[in-house]
Amino acid sequence: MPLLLENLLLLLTTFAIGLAIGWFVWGRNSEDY
Amino acid sequence: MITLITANWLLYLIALIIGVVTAFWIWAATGRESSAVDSFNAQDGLLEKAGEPVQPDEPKAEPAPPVVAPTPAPAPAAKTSPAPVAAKPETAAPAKPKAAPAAAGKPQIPAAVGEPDNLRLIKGVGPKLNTLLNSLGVTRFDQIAEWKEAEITEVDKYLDTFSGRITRDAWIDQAKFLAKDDIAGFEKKYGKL
Repeated sequence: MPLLLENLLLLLTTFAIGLAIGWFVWGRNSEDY
Repeated sequence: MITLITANWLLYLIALIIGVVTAFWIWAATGRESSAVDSFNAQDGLLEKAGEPVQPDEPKAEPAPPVVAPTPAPAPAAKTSPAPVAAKPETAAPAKPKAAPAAAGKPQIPAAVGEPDNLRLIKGVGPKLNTLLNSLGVTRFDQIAEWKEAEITEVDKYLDTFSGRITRDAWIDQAKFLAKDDIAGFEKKYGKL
């Protein structure tokens, strides 16, 4: 169970990192054009 | 934790990609909303209305000389000739310095003829680019529509961080539709205005 929880947490973190990267890249790309 | 990551790296990679894609999707969705709001004002007399924010710039240059000229010239100058002579150089002086800096920073392209259009209707042109283009003397769709390779490279030099946008966002093709007022054709190809 803790392993599953840790796995889920890690997955969520990776998703959040991906979200941040995408937001940053897209934000810079379309920034104040 | 490391063992967990190495064992399921593919899963994490997928999660990362989904995250990136979600971010892009959210950005695209918010962008679409704002452009829809922009188009709302542009529904009626779309191309004519568009020029309003740009207009104040042009009359600025014109009124100055005519106002200065008539004031020193009137009645008292009837007999004394030095007054009108002095007035003439005054009017000529402010006109010259204005023209010189404008020509220095502008691309060598055919000038726009007529009322300015709202260039923000071109997909990919936002407030900053619009101001930049206006300062470069680019104000009309028909002007952009007639650009060839030479004009594109010429204007591109002045676009700084926006360099490459003309071809990337197909300004010329978009401008052709907008210059003809072919909104249906434009929306069919480039989405809602």
